Amino acid sequence: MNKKIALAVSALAAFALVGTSACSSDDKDPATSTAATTATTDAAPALKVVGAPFTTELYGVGLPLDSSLCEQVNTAIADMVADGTWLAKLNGQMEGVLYTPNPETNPPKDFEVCDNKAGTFTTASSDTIKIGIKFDQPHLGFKEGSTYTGFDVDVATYVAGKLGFTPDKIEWVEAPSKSRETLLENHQVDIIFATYSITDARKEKVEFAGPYFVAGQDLLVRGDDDRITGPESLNESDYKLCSVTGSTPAQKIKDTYAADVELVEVTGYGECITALIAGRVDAVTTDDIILAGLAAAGVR
Amino acid sequence: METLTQYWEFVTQKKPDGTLLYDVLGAFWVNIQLTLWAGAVAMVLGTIILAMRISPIVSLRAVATFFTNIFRDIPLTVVMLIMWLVIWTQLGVSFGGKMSTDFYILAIIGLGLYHASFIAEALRSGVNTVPLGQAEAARAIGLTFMQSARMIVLPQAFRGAIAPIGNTIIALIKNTTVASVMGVATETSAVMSGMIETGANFVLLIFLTFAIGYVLIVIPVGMFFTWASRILAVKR
Amino acid sequence: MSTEIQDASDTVVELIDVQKHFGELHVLKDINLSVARGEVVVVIGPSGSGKSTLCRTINRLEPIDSGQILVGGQALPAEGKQLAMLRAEVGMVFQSFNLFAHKTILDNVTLGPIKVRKTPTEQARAEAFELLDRVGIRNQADKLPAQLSGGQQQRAAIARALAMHPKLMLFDEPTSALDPEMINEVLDVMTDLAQSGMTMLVVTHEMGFARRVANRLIFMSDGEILERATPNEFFTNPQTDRAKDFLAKILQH
Repeated sequence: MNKKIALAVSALAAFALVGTSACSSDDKDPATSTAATTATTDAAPALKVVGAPFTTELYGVGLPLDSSLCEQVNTAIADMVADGTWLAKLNGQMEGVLYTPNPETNPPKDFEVCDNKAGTFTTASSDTIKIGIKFDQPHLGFKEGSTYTGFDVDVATYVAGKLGFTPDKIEWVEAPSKSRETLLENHQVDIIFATYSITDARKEKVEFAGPYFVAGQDLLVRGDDDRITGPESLNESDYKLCSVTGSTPAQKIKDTYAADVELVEVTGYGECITALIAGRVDAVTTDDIILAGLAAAGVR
Repeated sequence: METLTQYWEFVTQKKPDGTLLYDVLGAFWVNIQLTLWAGAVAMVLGTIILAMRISPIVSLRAVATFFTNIFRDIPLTVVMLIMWLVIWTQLGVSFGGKMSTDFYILAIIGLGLYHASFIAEALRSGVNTVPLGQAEAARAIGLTFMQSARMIVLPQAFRGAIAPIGNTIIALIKNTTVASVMGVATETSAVMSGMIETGANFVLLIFLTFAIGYVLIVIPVGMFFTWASRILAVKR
Repeated sequence: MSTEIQDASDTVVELIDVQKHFGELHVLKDINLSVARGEVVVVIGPSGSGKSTLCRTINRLEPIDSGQILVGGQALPAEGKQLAMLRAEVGMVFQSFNLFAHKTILDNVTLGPIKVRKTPTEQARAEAFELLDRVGIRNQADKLPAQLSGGQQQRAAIARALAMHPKLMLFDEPTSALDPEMINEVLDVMTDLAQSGMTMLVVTHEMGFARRVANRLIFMSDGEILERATPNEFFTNPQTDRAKDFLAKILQH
């Protein structure tokens, strides 16, 4: 009897988890999704990205230091931009959200210089390519059952195609932020498309091709909240800002723009979104495209 | 060697206002404090649950068994997530003052509730080390159930439960890292995440720093409990 | 059936038609027994005869299925404060001593008087020392039970029971767990106690003690009381076959 009750409560808890953090778009029945499409054009969206991005984050393609693929990846990205696929995929993922990427830097034109031209490593296995992505960022790198969706996935699939790997030859591996360098060093993945910002510190451990997108830190607020317009406005009142534990964006805002803001750090963006919608925090901060993906997940 | 110097500079770098950017020692102190508070909550709650479990009143026994089963069957991370998603986010529970204090208190409550069930089980195993004859002799001279529990059975049960209690405390020390799920941003796993985010080239050293830190805390605690369980054991 | 009709105020314990089962096993069958004030009743019989169970039902360490048990004319109440008060009047000595292992001998003896009888501490300690003296272990007062020999522990247990000034002392095989050389020191204390007029019910295998000290001997087998007699009568002229069988076996060594 006690075991059954315990299982029921655990199930409820798991339910709450899944319900709050996942993008449940594919499960909605036709009636509600039609209503949602019309709603996005007429009613105010539930969440919106405000202000211009106030930093620059170059999303690079992570490669092990001994990789020989760098040049080919750069060429593939350039092709993807030239033939229009890049824009089409981006718009497809961000449908329904009022979001435009920074037009001065997107689509990317200046690619990283490939240092390691003498590298010999391509992929660990000759049949498949192991690509590291995020599993928990809706519309960027997201795992739903056995399907993988998102803009990172779209770019990765295109590039892999140009490298000679058809979609059925791709193995998707989760690359959590803390492990990206180790996964590449140990060749546990061959290449990474996981909202991976290019920094000097990281360049000591991995090689970067790309960037395939230039993001910038930004703020996500409730659709009907007009008080917050940018990072400085967070200093004006008792605002609460949410971000993910250990990430740099939140600390950056506190240090540079708004010393009085109260920081809330949680395990995942899903928890931030739940708190934002419930009114417990006033803004969520991270890269603008990640925010747009989270907002899009709520819309659809 | 040069990497170590660079790492040291990385770890000791300061923010614009002069304080440490990565307060590693401070983070360990936060986890130790969480251990002390949650440990106290777990000990008190665990003792109450134990008393309910061995009481002659059936309904009390049922409630205690129910509580223990719930918290032993739900993973700690899920308990913390429920504290975050349900208690803080949806129910808006607050203790006045700053949010970080709220998070701290809720984390302590979550950790305390979870480990209380293990303490109760540890104490129950301690009760089993007390021969039935002790309680019988207590009743035979006219002590009531409460007096017999308080004066004869529980003191011996506690002394017999030192080892399993010690194991629970050691698990608690390490489990306090889950407080980051409840928004406590100054404890070790949160600080570690922050360090890896910007110090990707020092990943291994960062992991080692925190692993060694915990080893340095847990080993003396383990030795203490082994010594204590021997000293305090009731000689029969 | 009762064999004697006694004045109520003189009857310390009375068991009337007591029955008890352990699951399927009928461990006490139609037990009728009364113990008068100052009497020493010794219960003997083979293992599994129900002797210990009988002893333990008197202070309700074992509850009964049916029948009545009267202690000092009062029926045994259910678990609770009343029962605790009644147990304070009945002292019990266990086969495994059951001294409180985490307390000194002195604390063992003073605990009951202080906590149950609310005797002032100084008085309780003074009386305790007297009792420990009486049983011959005064110099062990500050030791823990584990530091004493078996015989010393049992004597301490007797002192602990006596500290409550009980009307009745129950002994459940008090020497069965002792090494042979320590049995006599305990039996001596019990003999002394009997001679001072204490009402005692003793379950034991010690026939010599039974012969010397008992007023009445009860022989039990398979949960029933088969014979009641004075020691002399029983040992020289057992009535039932079962008793004859038993005596033949034990008197062989």
